[in-house]
Amino acid sequence: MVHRNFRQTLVYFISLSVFLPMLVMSIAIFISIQQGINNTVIYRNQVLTKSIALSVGQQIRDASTLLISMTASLDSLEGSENKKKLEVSLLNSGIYESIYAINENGKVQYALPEEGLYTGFDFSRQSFIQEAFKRTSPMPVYSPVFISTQTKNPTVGVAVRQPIGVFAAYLNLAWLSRLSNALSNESLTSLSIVDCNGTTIANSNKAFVEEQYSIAHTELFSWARREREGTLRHIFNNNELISSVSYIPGPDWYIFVSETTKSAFKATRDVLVIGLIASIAALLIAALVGYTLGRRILVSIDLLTEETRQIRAGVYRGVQPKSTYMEINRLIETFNTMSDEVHTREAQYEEANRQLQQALRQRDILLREIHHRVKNNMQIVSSLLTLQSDELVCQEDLELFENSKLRIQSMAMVHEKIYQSDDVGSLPLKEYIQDLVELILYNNQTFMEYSVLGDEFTINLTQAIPCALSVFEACMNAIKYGANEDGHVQLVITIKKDADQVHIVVKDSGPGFPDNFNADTSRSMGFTLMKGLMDQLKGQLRWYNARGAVVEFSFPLTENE
Amino acid sequence: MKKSAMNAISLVFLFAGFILFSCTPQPIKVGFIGGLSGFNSDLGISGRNGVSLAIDAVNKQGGIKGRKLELLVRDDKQDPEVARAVFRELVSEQVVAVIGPMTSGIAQVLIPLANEAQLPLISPTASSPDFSGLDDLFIRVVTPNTNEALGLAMESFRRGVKKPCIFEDLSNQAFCQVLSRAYMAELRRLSETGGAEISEITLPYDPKDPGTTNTWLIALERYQPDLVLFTTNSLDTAILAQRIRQRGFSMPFLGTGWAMSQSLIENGGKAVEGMVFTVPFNPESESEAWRIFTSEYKQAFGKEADFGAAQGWTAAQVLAQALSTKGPKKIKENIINRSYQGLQGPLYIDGFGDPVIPFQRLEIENGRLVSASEP
Repeated sequence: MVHRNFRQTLVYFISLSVFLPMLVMSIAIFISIQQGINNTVIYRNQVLTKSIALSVGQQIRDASTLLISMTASLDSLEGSENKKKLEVSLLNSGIYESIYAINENGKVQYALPEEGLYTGFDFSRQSFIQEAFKRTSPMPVYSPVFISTQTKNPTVGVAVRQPIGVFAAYLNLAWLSRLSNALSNESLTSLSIVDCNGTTIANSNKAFVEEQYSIAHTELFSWARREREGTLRHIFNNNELISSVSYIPGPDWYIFVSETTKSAFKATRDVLVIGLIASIAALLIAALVGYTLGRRILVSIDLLTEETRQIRAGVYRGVQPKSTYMEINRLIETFNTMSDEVHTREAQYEEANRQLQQALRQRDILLREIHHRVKNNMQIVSSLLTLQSDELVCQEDLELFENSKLRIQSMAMVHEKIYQSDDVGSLPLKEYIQDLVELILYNNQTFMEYSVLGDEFTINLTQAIPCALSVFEACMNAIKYGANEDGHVQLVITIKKDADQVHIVVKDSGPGFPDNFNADTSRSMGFTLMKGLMDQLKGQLRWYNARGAVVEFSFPLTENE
Repeated sequence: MKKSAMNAISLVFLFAGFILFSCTPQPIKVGFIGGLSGFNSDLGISGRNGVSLAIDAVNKQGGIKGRKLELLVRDDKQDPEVARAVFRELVSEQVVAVIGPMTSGIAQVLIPLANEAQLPLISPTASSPDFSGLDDLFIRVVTPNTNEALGLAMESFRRGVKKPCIFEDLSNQAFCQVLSRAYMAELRRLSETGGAEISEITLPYDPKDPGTTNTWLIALERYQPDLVLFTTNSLDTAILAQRIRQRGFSMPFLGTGWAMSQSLIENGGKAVEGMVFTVPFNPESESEAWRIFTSEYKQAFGKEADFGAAQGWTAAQVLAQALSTKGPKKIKENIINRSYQGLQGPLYIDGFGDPVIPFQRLEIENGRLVSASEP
């Protein structure tokens, strides 16, 4: 069986029910916001690019149209009126910086405003002039953008074919860079205009224009030439950019609105950061609330656990049901009821126990008293026999009396030992046998060497008297017949407890049993008693010679009844 | 678990990140310095375009031992102070070499800085002989212009010139003065054998002050030279040539490699027809490499490849070859005393970093530069 931790379960529960849905929702919301913002940024840049392309294209077309219309009305290349007309309409208006009237040989008939300087110059080798000469209609032809020696600004030449010759005018494109600067100042968006060869015409970085920086070999320009419109994410000068392009037909230019992805998608990052902060805050709050709620439950559970320990230690205190949870309060109330019940029952048990103990003590005292009285009675009987024996004259009768008195004393000693012991139900066997031998020696006034060896254990009262009488009889036999040739008796009693079996061996140092001795047929009272007592104890009696007579008792040890 | 396990996982990720970062080859930075802005920027722009095309080609083929080349372009604005500043900027960017400058005037300024920084300076077009025979870090892929001057002097001598006029560009005196001196010395030497007296007029031309042109035109009318040698850039040469023809002069014109570009032809018109150059370059070369280069150049930049573009490409290729030999160390040693396959033929760079390339006599004919045999 899996033992789950309540705290862990609580954490899993809060994680699954609060954190996980919150996380999934946050991710889903973030992805949709990100896509929305990205599409908006791309769309915005595309609209911006297209607007600028339309505006720039329109201005170039307007300038070209003006050049066409103004030159179309001229009847000849020369003529001061014509020059005046061109000067007023095209130069003074600030649209063009210079105009060249070129005759059929490609030579400059006159140039405005510096009429003298370029007059007579051969322009026939200039590719856009050559192209204009090939035209049959006054469709404008545009030169590659170059840096004007006069203004140091990017300039484009516009050539139109008229029946009287070709008119070429230089259009200052500084305003394109101003447009680029204005846009770049507004935001981090960068506007670039490049010609059909990838040479930069306008950029907020003046150096790009002055150095005629070429993007011809870049991935962006290859893509722009192919697609002409759209948005590309690409790497430029180790920066990741997002560039939208729009194409201007006529001058054959491309408008690029570029932005670093970092800047373009800043809003996405901001949303991500805000989302992250909000998520972290929500998680923290959820964790705090979860912790607080969980803690309230766990505090009550901890309190109940502690109080349970206290009950084990016997301290009964009521727990105040302060939890905000009804279930916990019910549990506390149930616990308190249970605690009170246990307390009451324990008090009852203690009282019953006390009474039982008292009864036991009384029984013990009574038993000791009984044993004491039995012993005293036996002593009286013994004393009576002693008094009675004084009247006997026959030595044999005296001996019989004496033996009977000793048997009574040995039994009395059993009761004495029992009421003197801590446990009134049992007899310390080894100690008793030692005292018994002492008693026998004292009464027989015999010089004897003895030893009691073996285990110390107790036997119950039921077995004590038969056992004591058996050992007594064996000892009496040993004293009577166990002396060696020197008249010296050496008695060894060995007591052994083997599992639940008691073995008592009584050995003397005498000549042993006679060869024709048979205990079963013997009329000896001692052996008759010993056999009878062993039968009573469901034991066995063995006898044999082993450098003396040996009597061996063995009987099963029984519990107190 | 859990702290130690988390630490172990973090360490593994950190290590993996470090390994990945370490495995990403860092690009080799190469600098370019040239005059890219202003009225005489066509040579610089052509040179930069040529270098850029060569570097793109190297990168498309996998770079140098797996490392891409990164070109850092700087504009010297034909101004010595700006040139010094941008050179120091490139040194701080830790470029392995600088390709450029495109003119001898700027080279004169940058050579001491290159020697000091121990940074190879490989010029595509700086041709002043003052830089020859020096064991320094200046290397070039153009032959010193004394050879050009000898060719121009021979051209003048053949035409029987006695009163040449030289337009000398004050913005690039390191080139112009040496060339004009060498030209005059050789013309005098050649003419002495025939006993002819040679007189000379040198007209200092300041491109920043084109107003002086009228004065020089008056001077020409008085002096009546029988040949004009332009040591000016393409656009200035074109305008000067047009102005001279405008005044009715018909003397032959000689030009230098500095001016020899499409811009000269387009802006010079018929005025520059017949102008002769003696340069280590042939726009009509039939070599396969030149054909491919001009085609790619036209496709990339929308105009014809010219001398500056070809020289830029060659300089970048020489550097790339040296880098591919032994990496960014000892670049100069890996460039000098070696033969290279240029766009129009082989070239050999000697121990002083000067190449040996055969010269061509070119002439503008019907708006095109053509290889012309000697008349």
